[in-house]
Amino acid sequence: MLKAKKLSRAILVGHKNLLDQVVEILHDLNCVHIEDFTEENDMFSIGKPAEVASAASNKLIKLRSLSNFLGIKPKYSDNLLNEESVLTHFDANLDELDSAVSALLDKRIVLENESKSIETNIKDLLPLSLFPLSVEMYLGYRSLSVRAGYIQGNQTDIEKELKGVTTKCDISFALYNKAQFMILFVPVEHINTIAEILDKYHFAEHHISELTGNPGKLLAGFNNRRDDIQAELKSIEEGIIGLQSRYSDFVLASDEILSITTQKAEAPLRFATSESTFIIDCWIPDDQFEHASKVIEERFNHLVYFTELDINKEKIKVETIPVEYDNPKSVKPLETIMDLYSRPVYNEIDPSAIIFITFPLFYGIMLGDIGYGFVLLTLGLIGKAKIKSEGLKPLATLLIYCSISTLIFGILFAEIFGFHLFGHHSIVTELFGEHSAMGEIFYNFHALPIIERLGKEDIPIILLATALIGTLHLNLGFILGFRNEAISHGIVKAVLAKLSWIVLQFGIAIIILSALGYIPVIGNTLGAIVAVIGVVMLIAGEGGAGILELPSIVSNTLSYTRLAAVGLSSVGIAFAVNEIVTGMLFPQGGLFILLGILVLIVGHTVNTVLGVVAPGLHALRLQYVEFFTKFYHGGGRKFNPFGYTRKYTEEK
Amino acid sequence: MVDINLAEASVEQILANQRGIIAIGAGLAVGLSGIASALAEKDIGAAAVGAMAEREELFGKGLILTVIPETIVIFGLVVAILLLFL
Repeated sequence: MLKAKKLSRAILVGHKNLLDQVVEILHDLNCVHIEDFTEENDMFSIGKPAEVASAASNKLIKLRSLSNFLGIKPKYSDNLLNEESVLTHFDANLDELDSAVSALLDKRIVLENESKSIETNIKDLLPLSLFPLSVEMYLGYRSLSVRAGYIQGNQTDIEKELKGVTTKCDISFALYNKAQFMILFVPVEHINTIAEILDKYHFAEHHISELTGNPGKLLAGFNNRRDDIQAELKSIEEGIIGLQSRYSDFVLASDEILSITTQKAEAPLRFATSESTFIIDCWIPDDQFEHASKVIEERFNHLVYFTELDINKEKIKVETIPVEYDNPKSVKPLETIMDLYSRPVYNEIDPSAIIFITFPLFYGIMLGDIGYGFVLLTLGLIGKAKIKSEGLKPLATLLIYCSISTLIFGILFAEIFGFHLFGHHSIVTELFGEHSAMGEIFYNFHALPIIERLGKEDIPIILLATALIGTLHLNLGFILGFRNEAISHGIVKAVLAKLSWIVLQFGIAIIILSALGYIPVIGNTLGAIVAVIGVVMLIAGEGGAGILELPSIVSNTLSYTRLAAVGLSSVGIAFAVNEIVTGMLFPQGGLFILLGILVLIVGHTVNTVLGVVAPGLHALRLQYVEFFTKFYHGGGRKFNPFGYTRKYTEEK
Repeated sequence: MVDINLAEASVEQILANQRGIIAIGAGLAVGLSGIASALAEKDIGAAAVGAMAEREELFGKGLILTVIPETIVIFGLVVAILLLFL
């Protein structure tokens, strides 16, 4: 807790003949983080991948393209397949799947092409179906030109003008899709003059397909075929879904097996090798070194040399050491929040355990409502039971933590969905009547709320209390910063850069206390002196830029009043919804009661959604912006052990 | 507009008038600081989304940068609360 897992740098040296076996064992151990070998020189070069690598990756590519076509998504599976049986049937299964997919794919392409050409034909035929001629009548003349298309303007004018050129022309009009469609038969020699006239009337040529027969009948035929194609395409989609459900286990399992095979086969690309030896440079958690070295010893009996290096002697930069969190299980979900910001560096404080307390605390202070607390708790529990994805599960657990804190503060604020629980406006009293046994208990119980969030008198108290919480939180940050600074830059720098802030605050506190009359007036001068000492220390530690940072102490502290402000806005919305419903809608009776219930449900749903998002974001921000900036740098590398966590298969 | 002659106004009227002006002030404090936050956040948010499109792990940093100007509206809200309740 509070620190990353202790790691050691280790090296493995052995004869190249043993490389494959060593890779197998390291992969099974799943506890070493391999450092890639990059500096090639005369002595060492990068290792060559095992022979199976290229075959396995080819299969993997084929498998993944099929899986992509079928739309197979990673899922949670209880049913683990046996690796050996998957491998025995792999080629047969893959070929079968491949041919099934290609057959469907080919058929789909043919149908889609046909569908496209039918669509074009239908588009061509639709206006022609308004005329009595067969389609072949429009095409294939030598001395006659046929023009079909949309034209704008008065029919008689157009006709008159065209007949003016030659009387040997035939013109027909029809109205299609609110536009004027015209077909014109005219001798070829007049075509140029005619074209000019047509241009004047904005003539748009319509394509005529080379078909034979009555347009109406053709259309009916095409429409039928189109419906057939749609049905066939649908059956292909069903076929794909069928293949997907039939082969999804196989695809996921073999993807896993092939990934493991390629991972192992390509591992030598990360090692340094000479003509007959290999060197593996890696990181291993201290608590696992003994076990790993025992396994290697038993297996190779001194033929492979495995040893730890002293980090201090090696002068390794801390930023390059991979970082593995070392937190109890309950704190694990908070690591997601840490990773969202940046992983701590190896020797830095890992604040997961601190935000395990402060994040839900801030969340609870902001939302603080029994009703919303229960809603969130239910959502969190459902999420935890239903969500199988490793990425999202921690968020469900986090929601549970936050909902518990919300419940606790809900009890302290005695709020339930924005209604008062006790006293004058108690919802229970209003529901059961002031003089009922139940109503009286809630009416007369005055121990709660500790703070009434919408009460005029209590609001300044909440503001002050939240600013105070902020001061505590910030100073915790300064203390942690002091520790980090002392380790990385020495105690003097730590005192000047971090302790100075605490001294400064101490000075300000003395001034405030004396101004309020809690300590004698002399405190004023004393406080000023202490504050000035703080500022001088800060300038000595951080340089002139430190002065620019000074106002941040006020703005950061005030920033914590958001704990009150966001909380008030959430109560405010709930209160407003309740007022609208109980004050305005319900008293009118009848339909308004139904409307009131609707407003109540919609209003509180919206507020619950806001209640998850707003306090979540603000609680997060207070950690990231106000707290972390006081001590945290981050930028650590993730400890990524060489190995594979199987999800769909088990070893032979 | 209600024309109030201060000399003839009763004490209640003057108090009510003051309350109204305080409410307007509180509204302005929240509203204007909200607009200021929004103006500041819109550019940061757009840039953060752009950065995230290139490197998804920048989400945390982007979120922090985006919510930094939130403080402006919180100050506005605190001022409004102080105006209304103190």
